[in-house]
Amino acid sequence: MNKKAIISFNVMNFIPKIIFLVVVVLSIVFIVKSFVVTDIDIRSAEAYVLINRIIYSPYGIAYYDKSIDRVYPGIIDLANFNTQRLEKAIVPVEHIAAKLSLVNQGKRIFYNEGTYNNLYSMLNVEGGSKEITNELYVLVKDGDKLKSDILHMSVVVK
Amino acid sequence: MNKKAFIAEALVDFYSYIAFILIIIVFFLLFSIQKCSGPSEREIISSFEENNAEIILLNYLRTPILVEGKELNFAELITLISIDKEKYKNIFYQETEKFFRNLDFIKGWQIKIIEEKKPILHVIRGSDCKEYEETMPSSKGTLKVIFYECEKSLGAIGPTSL
Repeated sequence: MNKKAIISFNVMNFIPKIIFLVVVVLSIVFIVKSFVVTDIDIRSAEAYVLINRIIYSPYGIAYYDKSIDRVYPGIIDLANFNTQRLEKAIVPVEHIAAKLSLVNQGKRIFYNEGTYNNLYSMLNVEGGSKEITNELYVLVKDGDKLKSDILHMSVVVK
Repeated sequence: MNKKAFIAEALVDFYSYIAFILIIIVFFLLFSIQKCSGPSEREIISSFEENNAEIILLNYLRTPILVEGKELNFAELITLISIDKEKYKNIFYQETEKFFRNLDFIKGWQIKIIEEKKPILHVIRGSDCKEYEETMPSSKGTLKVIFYECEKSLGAIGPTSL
């Protein structure tokens, strides 16, 4: 065999080895990718953070005693239960909205109503929004009276 | 290339395929063990559930009820129980049952009252529970009210009195 032929033979000989190397590299990439979690869904956490802000904030719907600077998180002041106050306390953002209902009182308010309706319509769409609901036993302060009620919260997050 | 060299190279290739398959199996096992040893998805929900249960207990104690024509709340009724248990325990059972019947999102529950480390009342309507407690003053020292939020309901099996 002349020198040129030897070189060609060696190159030809390397082709299966290169294919084998490609298979090895692709396998490693596939294995690593299939086990490493890259999707982080924090929508539930975001929703619960919003719920807590609504319940615990002195500027939210909770009863707030100015004289002792204390918030009563489980007591809802009926005078504070309105959309304007809620949206003033928590500046509306595009990707999260909520609907709050007092079941016994039959009252309903929204945080970010337009966004809520948009996101709610995209609930069952792939890549759409997610709804997180929460129910809480609350006391409603109507003047000097305390009344039992259930606060139903529906939060939708994009 | 002579015949001997050709056979040797084929043998090396064969072992390299075996080695590759072994590496894949080892990788797979390593990642599987890692996946089983700890959750890849971590939930941040439990602390929010605790907040809910604490609010339920606080509101339970603040809830107004009618006792002998007077408007009291559960905290005041529990204080009365520590003074005269026989007189007030039935009202307590009835009102507590009524209270939790309205909360259909709670699967099961228990309420336990402890006075100076001694249990004086215990109503059991659930099992597999997490406990939350509040302490308040009484005529004999301190009263501890423990609310258990349970995973399983036991239904109405009658009050358990200590």
